[in-house]
Amino acid sequence: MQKKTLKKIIFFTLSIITIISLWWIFSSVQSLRTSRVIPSPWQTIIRISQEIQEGMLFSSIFRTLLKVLTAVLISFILGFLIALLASFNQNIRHFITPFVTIIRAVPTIGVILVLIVIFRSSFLIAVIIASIMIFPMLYENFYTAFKEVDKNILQMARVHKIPKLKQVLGVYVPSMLPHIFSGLIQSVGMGLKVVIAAEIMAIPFRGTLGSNMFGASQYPDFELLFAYIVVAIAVSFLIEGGLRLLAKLTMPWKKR
Amino acid sequence: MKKISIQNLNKDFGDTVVFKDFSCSFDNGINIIMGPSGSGKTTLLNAFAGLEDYGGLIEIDGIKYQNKCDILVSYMFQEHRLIVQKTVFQNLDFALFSSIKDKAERKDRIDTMLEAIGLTEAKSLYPRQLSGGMAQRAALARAFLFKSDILLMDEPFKGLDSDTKETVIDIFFKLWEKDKRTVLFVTHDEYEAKRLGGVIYNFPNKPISGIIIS
Repeated sequence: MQKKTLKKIIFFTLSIITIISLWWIFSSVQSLRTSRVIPSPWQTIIRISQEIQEGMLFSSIFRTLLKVLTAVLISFILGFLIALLASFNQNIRHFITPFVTIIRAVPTIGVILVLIVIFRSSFLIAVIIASIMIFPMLYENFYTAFKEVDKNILQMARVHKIPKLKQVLGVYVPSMLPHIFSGLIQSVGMGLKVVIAAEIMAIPFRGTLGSNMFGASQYPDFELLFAYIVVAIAVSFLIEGGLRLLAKLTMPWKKR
Repeated sequence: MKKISIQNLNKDFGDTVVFKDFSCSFDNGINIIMGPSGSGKTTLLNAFAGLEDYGGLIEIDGIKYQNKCDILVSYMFQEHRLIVQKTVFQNLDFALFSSIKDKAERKDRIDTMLEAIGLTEAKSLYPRQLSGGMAQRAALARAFLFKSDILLMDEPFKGLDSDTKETVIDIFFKLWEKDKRTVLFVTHDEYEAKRLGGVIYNFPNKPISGIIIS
């Protein structure tokens, strides 16, 4: 194993141990004072395993992820098309910039409240709000990707009379891949947060990560609430890991 | 090898006039173009490569090209211009894609060329894993693999140390002896000009006008 990889693993493990230790310390201090708001890591793990046994967990994850992935797909297509136009025409870029700035600044909760009044479908509310929040990230990543395609390489391709499609596949796509993966990794994390927020607010969601968290907070069952928070983090972590692995596999020139 | 001439070439970039009724005939061997920075040497090569429009006429072996040249040329740029996301082999394969449709033939030709220039071991390496000399050798291989009668070279050995430069020039001659083409070689380096031993054309400061004879 390379020294660099070993260091990475050591520091990653240290970080996880620190996080779990801090969590454990907070839960211990808390339990001495008042009723248990922060359960211990161990109690949380037990609660997660109970949820798995009851068969509720995976269907909840699936329902939430479906919304996240739908939102990512919509924003991906929109971000790609608008960034493509903006990279070719600065006027379109100037036109789009205020929209992107406003979307970035707008409070998520405020938009969810407005959407709840307009739409009846809670699925639609979650997908719309997540798409709105993800779009600026993907748009900016795509725009940068288009702008960073090496003009000298395109000139070389023109000299060698390389067909346009081959130029797209051989020059544009490889050059854009790092930005695309970066955008996707950010989007899935953000998408999951926003969809869960929408699920909490826009009841009647049933059997989703957000609704389960909301339900747990109403009883109140803090062990269950924490269990679902940890599950949400784990899901985000796994998807990010998967995307990073895919990025490594599709970009072999980066790992050497 | 092709006979090249330029008649009444005009080219400007807005207010900057580069060529004004410029005419010149090149030898059908190695031609060295020298001149101060910004005197239009690269612009001239780009015009031959079809990368720049121009006014006037470029004549290649009796065929006249007005405003835009669309012949096949090999071009070795100042930088190696290898695609960083592709290996040496994939870079050469990419450049040959339109001229040789058969994949197996492309592979054979690339393998033979890599062996000739001593880059067989580096065929699976990415450009950032290559030294400056290796990258320029790969670019030289690409230029000679691409079938054309004209080879444009824009200060291709700039930035190489003297030993590496010697090696790359030796490889250039080895390839050129086997596959002779009309070469337009831009350089600032008098040593390179002498070493290549071609006909030397000295470009004055722009705008270049009138007739330039070697």
